[in-house]
Amino acid sequence: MRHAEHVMGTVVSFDLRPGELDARALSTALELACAALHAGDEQLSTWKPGSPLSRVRRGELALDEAPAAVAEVLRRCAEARELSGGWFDPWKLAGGVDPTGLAKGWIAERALEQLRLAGVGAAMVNAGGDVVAFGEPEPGRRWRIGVVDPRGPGALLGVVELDGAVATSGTNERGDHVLDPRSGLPARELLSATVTGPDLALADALSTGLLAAGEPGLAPIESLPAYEGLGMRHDGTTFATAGFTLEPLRNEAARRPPERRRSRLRRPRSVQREPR
Amino acid sequence: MVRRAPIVLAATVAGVAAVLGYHPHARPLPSAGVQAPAASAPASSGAGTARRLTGSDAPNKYGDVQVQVTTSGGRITRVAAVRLPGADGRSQQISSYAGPQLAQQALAAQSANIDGVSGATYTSESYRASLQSALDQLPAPTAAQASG
Repeated sequence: MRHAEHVMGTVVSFDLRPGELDARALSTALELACAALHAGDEQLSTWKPGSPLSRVRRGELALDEAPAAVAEVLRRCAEARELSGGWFDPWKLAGGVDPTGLAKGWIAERALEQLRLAGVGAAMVNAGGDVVAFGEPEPGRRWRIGVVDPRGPGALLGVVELDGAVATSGTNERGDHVLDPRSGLPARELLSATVTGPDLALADALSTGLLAAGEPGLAPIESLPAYEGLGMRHDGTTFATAGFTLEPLRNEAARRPPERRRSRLRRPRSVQREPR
Repeated sequence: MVRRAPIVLAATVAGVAAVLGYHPHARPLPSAGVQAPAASAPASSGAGTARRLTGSDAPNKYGDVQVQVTTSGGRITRVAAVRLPGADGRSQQISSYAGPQLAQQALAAQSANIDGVSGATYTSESYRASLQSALDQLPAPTAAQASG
């Protein structure tokens, strides 16, 4: 079952495999997941002036009087700031603390959790290009997610097989919207940064941090056991953590069954991308 | 052949839509919603039916996005943005390459056997929303048989 929900100023799409659930139970699970998205958006939106987070930012609402989600997301932001080596720092942004770089992923995780608790067999939530999933879409295969090539008009850099989450931050479409927390200036070194790992909230924050940092942002990700990162510079070259597995996209390979063409491509750092 | 073409088309669209995270709605549509009836196709070369479907405007905070899908012989052959944000300099700059890039993505995704895409942002989500509404104009397989 697929579904697209307009929320958080974007489209969040669902792909559900029912497992043991009947149609009615699956539908109920989806409703709960969508409710979690909207609740998260209501509480954590920085675009909505009346949201609890906006009121906390303006000093109109004390943190301990706000919904628990606000404090929880800020706690996760502080944790992500540590884990990113300071490259993700929502306290360094203009207008007060802005957890948007983590909150979208966190909210998507809450939605996915509803599906897991309801007993859905396998599910994928794609929140505007930040993706988290569990289970197998078909027996014996994992969810396959294409990573966008930030250079137009190219297509995809390759495919990651998901064991948790993948988040991509870029300067490609929304302009220089990520600030380097150390200089306070827009980050310009990279075209895009992609991070995979078990948790989308942290992957989301780490990809924002990697985009802000450029290559120095890779070391903190390398030190996290389950997270991998990939950055692309403006000249089209890429660098990645040792364990980042990106399956190249080849036209003739696309029609073969996925289990036959799984390859583990270990990228040394600072390696030039192969021409296609 | 005339009856079968829309079924092939729907199957292909479902494949693309899977990649993009959407699905063609399996609901009967008023005939006004489908722009190019299958019967108008030249059937000689095997190239099949060419049809063009235009999605609805999908607004985002940078402006409106509208997408057109061209199919031929049951495959999506072209995905073009007929409207992208362009009210100010930055939007124009974004749109000038976002359109072709997203079109390529949709076409690449058609043959890439993937479940989704990481890296999209605001404009592309609107693009997808409009693409979905274009795909929604395709008849569902059963409806196609009934009407075709």
